[in-house]
Amino acid sequence: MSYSTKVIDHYENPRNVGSFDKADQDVGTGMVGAPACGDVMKLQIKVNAAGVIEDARFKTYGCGSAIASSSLLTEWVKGKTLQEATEIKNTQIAEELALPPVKIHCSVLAEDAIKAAIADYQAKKAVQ
Amino acid sequence: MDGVMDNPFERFGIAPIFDIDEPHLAETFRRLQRVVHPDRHAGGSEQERQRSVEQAAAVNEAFRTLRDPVRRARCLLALRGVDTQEGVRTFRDPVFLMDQMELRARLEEAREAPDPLGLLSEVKEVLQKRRVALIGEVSGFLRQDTPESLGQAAERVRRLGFFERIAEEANLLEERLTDCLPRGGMD
Repeated sequence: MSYSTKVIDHYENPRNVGSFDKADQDVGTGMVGAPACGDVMKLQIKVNAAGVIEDARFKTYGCGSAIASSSLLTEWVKGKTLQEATEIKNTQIAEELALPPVKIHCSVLAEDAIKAAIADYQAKKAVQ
Repeated sequence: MDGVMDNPFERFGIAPIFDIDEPHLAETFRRLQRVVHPDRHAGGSEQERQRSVEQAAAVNEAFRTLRDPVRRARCLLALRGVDTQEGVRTFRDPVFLMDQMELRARLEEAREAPDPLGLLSEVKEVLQKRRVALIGEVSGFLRQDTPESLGQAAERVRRLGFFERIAEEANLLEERLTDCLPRGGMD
């Protein structure tokens, strides 16, 4: 199986690698994993008062497709409202990166990660 | 898993339980291997030879499942109608995943560390401890054999999937490190 040039680009030059302070009230953290392949993904968003995602970070241990999916997603969510970010579908990620069928689950993992990050942020705001 | 699954416990004539007698398992494997070995049927008809090749493969496959605790647990769960759903279910326990991230980060650090093999063996020790503990839990949950406990066993099998992967990474790293070390350069 060969990776698409977009996957290779994200793999070699991953965008927004790193992390925010998990305890920060403006940060939402999504941690997800895929038992079948052992991939682990952390995706974090920093949300401003207007409910817009200002910045995003990720750290992924996994294959090139998993890294590319999360890297791409951090680029996409920046500047989006939480609602807009919720609407991102794994199929859009898979299409953009030209993922082969066996790697679709990597894009599912990324979609689950952003949803988990948003849920974490909203849970923090709810208790405030 | 479909209904025509070969039941490895039946093939080996042992009770379908998790805590199996390992020496007995190995002994049974050798006995079955002798019985079905294609060399024993070399003089037989084409059909007999074909059948013996198939039987030998099935015995090997059953042994692979029975000897490995994770495969064995997966098989027992399947026999009780519980799918571990490792391929379809995203794992979300943040505490467990954070621990996985830390272990992976330590493996990465080992690559660059002044004493990579020392760090690596520390990580491998932690991996082994966690794995043994999880297998112990799987054993307990399978013994309880309630719908609730089988669900818990499946959850532990999913956790073990992450440990299988990270152990592979650790072994790869170990191979690379031991290959790269100058001969006689370490004392």
